[in-house]
Amino acid sequence: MRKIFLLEDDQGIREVLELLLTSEAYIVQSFATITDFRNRDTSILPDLYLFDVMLPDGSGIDLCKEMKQSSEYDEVPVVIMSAHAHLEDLTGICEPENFISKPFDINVLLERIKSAIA
Amino acid sequence: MSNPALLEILNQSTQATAIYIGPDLVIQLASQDMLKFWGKDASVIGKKFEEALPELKGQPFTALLKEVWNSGEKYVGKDVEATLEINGELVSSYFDFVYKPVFDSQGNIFCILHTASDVTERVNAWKLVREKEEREQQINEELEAANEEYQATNEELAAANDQLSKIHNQLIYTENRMQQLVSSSPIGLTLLKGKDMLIETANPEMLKIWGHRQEKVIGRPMLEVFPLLKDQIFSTQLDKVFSSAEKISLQQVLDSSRQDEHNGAKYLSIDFIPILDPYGKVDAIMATVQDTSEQIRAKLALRASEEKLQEYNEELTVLNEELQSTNEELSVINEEYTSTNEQLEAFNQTIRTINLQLEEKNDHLNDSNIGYELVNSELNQANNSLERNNVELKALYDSVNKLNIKLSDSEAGFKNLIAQAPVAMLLVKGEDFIVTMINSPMLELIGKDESIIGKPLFKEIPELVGQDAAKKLIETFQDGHPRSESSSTVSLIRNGELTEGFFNFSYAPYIEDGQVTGVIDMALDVTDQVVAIRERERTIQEKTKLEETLRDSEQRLQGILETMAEGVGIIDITGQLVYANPMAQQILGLSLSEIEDRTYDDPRWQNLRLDGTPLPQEEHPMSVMMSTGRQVYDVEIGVQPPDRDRIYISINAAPIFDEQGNLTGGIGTFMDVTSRRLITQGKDDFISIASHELKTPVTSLKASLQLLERSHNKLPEESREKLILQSIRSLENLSRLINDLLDTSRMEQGQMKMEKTLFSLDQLFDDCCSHVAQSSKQQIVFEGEKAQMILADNQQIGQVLVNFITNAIKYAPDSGKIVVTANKTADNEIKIGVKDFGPGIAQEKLKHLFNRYYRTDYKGQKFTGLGLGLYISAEIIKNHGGRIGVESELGNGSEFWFCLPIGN
Repeated sequence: MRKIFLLEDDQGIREVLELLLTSEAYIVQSFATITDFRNRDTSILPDLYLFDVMLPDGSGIDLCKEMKQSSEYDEVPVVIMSAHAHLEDLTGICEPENFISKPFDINVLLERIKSAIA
Repeated sequence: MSNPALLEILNQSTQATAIYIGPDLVIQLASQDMLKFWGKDASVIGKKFEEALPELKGQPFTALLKEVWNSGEKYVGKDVEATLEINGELVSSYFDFVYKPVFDSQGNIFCILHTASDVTERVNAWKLVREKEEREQQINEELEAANEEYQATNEELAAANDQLSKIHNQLIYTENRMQQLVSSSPIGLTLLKGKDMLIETANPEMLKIWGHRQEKVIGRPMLEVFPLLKDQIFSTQLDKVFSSAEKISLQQVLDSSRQDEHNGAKYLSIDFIPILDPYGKVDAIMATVQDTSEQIRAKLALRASEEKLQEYNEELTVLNEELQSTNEELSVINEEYTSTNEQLEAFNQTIRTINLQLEEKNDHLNDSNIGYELVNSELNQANNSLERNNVELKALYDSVNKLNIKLSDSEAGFKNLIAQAPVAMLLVKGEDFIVTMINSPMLELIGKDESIIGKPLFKEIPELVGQDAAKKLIETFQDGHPRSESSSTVSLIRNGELTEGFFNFSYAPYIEDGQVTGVIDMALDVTDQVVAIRERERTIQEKTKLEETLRDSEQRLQGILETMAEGVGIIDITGQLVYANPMAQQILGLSLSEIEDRTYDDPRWQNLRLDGTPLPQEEHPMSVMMSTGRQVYDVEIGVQPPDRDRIYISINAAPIFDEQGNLTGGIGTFMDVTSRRLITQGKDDFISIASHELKTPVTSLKASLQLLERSHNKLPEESREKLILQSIRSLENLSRLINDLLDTSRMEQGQMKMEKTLFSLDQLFDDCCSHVAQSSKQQIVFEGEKAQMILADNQQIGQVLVNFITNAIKYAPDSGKIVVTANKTADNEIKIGVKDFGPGIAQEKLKHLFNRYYRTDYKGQKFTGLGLGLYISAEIIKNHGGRIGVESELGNGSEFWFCLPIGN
């Protein structure tokens, strides 16, 4: 079963995504803040990171960059969600596998997650 | 002692050696060298010293040896002369020798060892040296003596030299004088040598006479050079000079080669003077040539006049003879007269007789005369007195004549003065002001001719009547006081037109015999000057006015620049700032000198684009303007001063051209648009945040509904419920956000309407906040005068309360309790507060909380919501006429409160 680590501060979106992804047979672990994320059990490597950008204690993009630069996690694909920005803006800063803008279509989201994990 | 061996050894020695034994000095041994010295052979061995060398008698050697033997002391002799007989001759030689006593083992002397070396040569050499030295000494002494003599001689020579020098100098001096004399002599001098009279020297005057240059004449025969003399000189005469040393003088030699400009011929006097050598022989001839033209001419003139005199004398003689003849005629006539006289005599006699007769008659008359005499004496007296009167009259007449003469002189002088004066002068006399005298300057001035003389002034120049100048003239005549005016206006008719001019005039009373009989008028036409002065004054006035206008304009401009609300900066062609008005200085926060130190694109400005990146020089509006030569309008750039917040300015830039149309600089005006920008940025930020915030509930709404739509069958009941609930919540959020936005916009436009109703606070709390209280983890209590009724817009006040409470929940999640209080602060006012026990808010943030776009950070975290809540709350309370505020202390929580008028 594929594992997804979700980082999203809005409770509403978080809950919906949890339900959505679980219903699609993904195991979801979600975090509301970067701090929470850092405090996770780092021994578990997921199959995908799904990061929101505007987080209360930092930027998902910076976190993506950090992930990509470390040797431990650079294999794990990252998908960025945001109400702002476009994929092009991210080049040079971090190179996620994919990007999805809010509000999204769940089909599109599932599609992109699938292809990123693959 | 083995004598032969010893002898052999001794012979080998370099020194002659001998051994003597005993007090008798028996020669025990003598080496070959010693024998040679002695001039003896080996036969002397065994003999006594004295015997062997008898020639040594009288010489000290024997004695010395004996002394050595006796005393046992060594004797060393040096350079001792010994005369020895060698080969029959007595030879003197010099020796260094030693007589050494030799002792036996007992210390007794048993022989004397004699060693000697022939040092004759040495001695001789020394002698020579000594002789030489003595000779040298002698020579030195002689030299010294000679030197002294030499010294003395030198001194004499020096003295002689001095004398010679002096004589020489004198000679030179004398020679110079001679030279000068000769060269400056007005007489030509030349020195001739020999019968041929070769010219040795000639002075300048001579050269002039000859008409040759010096180089040409020296060494040549004089007659060649001076051909004039060829005809004059006779060889015999010359011979005479040479032989008998007689001097020849030639007078009156006509110099045909030269002519005087005025008087004709030139004459010379030439002398040949022999010059004798010390022996009395003629050494050379000095020829002197003198220009005697004048004397000769004088002589000739004299002769001419003498001749004339002679002529006159002859004439006189002739006349005398005539006279003589006339005299003779006269004597004849005299004789005739004599006869006539005799006749007369006769007649006289007749008369005498008659006279006698008359006398008688006279006597008669005499008597009657006596009577008459009395009358006569009376008449005489009368005559005398008449005579006296006559004399007085004559005197008077004379004085009058004198005065008249003086008068006419002075008049003439006066007339002359006036006529010649460079100043225009006029004399008018009498009540009619008759023009008595007038000079040409004055005629010119008044534009009249001499016909005016003798005519009344004011009739001839009627235009003067009534003018100030005329009045003054009349006054001077009347009161006798002089007057003068300068730059006085006088109008005169010139060329038929009345022209106005300016004159300096002065009137002086003309006094004759103490009475004012007229006026002297002196005038100077200063029209041109006055006109020029007035012109200049006018020009100066105009200029002053212009200057004032200019200054006013400048001041106005300066005033504008200083007071305008925009900054003005002027740059030159290089971009260097040359002026910045006070507003510019204020906006940029720099002094004028600091600004003028920079160009507009100086890196110190830190010019920025609007997005914060550094502004490239070519994008600066001033650069654009300078390069295109066109104005640019309203271009915004950022400026980051090093010590202040960033500011944004909007620049208008315009180029400055000179008269030829060349770009010489630029002028930029700018305004501080920082607040405008910030507001815009604030708005942009707000919009960006707003759109983000709005998208968030939309996202979860959309996702929830999509999921439900997609898999509502597959999802568990619980999940479905959750999704539906989430959707509703999201929608509520969205709705709230939109309402907030709308409220804000309505508030901006003043469209917020209040519907006031009467309600209790309890009711308010229940209506608005009960479900918030229910869903929150924290405890929310309401204390105080809950029953208080107020008149207000229920919905809006409820909104405020909800806002405060949700804020408390949001920002103080760890505050266990949230307390809502209501208290009357005054009769008419109620204060409602919401207190939390959270972290509190920093003092500097408190004043911004109710601002429109302010969204506070809570420990750097961003919260959802638009941040409009407090702004809207503040507006609502304000509209109700209430007050709103917050109290907070870091670590101690916050209390948000508002006061409302109770109403009714």
